[in-house]
Amino acid sequence: MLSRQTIRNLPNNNRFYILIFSVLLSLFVFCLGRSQIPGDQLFYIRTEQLYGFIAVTFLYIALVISPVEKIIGKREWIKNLLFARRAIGVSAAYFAFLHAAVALWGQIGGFGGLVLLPERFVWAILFGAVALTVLFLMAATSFDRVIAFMTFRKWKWLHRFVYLGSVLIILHVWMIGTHVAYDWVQIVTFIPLSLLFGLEAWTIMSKLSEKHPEFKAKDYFWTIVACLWIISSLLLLMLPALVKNYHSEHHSEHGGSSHAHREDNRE
Amino acid sequence: MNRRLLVLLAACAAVLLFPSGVSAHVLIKDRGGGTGAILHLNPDDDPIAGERALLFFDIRDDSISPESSQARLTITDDQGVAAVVPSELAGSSVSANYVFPRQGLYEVKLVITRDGKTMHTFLQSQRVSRGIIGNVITNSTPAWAEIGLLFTLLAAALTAIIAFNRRKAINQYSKW
Repeated sequence: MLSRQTIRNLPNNNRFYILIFSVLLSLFVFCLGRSQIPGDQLFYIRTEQLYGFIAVTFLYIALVISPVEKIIGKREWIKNLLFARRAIGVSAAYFAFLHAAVALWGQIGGFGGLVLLPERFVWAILFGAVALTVLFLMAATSFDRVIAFMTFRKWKWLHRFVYLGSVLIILHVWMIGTHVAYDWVQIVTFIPLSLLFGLEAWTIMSKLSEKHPEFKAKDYFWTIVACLWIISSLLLLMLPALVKNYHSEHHSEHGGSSHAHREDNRE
Repeated sequence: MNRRLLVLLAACAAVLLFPSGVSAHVLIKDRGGGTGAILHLNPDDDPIAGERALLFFDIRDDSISPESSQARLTITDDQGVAAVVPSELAGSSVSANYVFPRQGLYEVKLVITRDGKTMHTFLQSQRVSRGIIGNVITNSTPAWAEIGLLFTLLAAALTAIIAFNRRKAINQYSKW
């Protein structure tokens, strides 16, 4: 997979440092969790949540680099970031795999536990599994030789699936994520996602206007960018109405009624 | 400052400062292994000794109903003292409030019966590591976790030093 030249230049390659950092970070999270959380179940929950959060953060950075480069131009640090993007994508896949592994074997107790889960959980896990497959395919095809073998056009086409993967990740997190039930998490998450949607709308229109110069007119361009951005942000805002979050649903149903019980009932 | 803006900022601050507790999910299999239940524990999957915790079981068995089934929830502490906790059966889910008296390891047992016959028995060990401290110290940090933390920090520092010393070469080589 790696040529001699690449191996010789590893210490000068920022991808190498990002991958080393990812491995060390995963070990650090695992060891920190184990040293701070005495209960196994809570340790699995927190580790799974942290790995998932880190995977999403890496994916967000990988997605946002390209639109930012289009807007601010090819500055020196952006060139470095563009080069590092493949390693950032591989790190996202790595943490997504760790997240899935801890959830599956730590929390659910293996594949056998899947059949015992409620339907909403199974759907959310299915979305997550498809997104993980997409991330894996992208990580597996992030080598120069693979790109040369596939041809750049097909490789680019394959990597567009990241957008499908991202939508599935949003659904996965929303449906069974625990912290998304917090109002402040919803607000804090909405802002960067809406920003990303705006940047992606701008990128889509830039590419479209290169092929179809009639869209280069400012009125056309900005109207469509604004429409795409508003529609995607509105869809995100409407997500709670379109898809139910497992935790909000159950806590709103039972939170009030169960409070009537006596608090201490020792025999 | 604009009064409307102040009200809006205050509303945002209220939302951010007073979040309601949420809980994650733990899958428990019944003793027969054929039925699963999702256990939610509030607050934040990590009960606080001395404060009220909400236990919520979402059982995957539609045949359970409040009319024909009964639920009995027992919580036993590490001294073997058992407490029967009043619980509410709604649909196929059971919810209860309980105050864990002190930190320690508890066994949570939920038995679902119908006509005096046991349908499901769910058992879960629950560690309480926040709040009132009891006589028994159960917390122990594994040595490998401490060594792992030290190793990762040292390795990260070493990698950072190497990267810093090679920053010009990295900057030159790693360009798109």
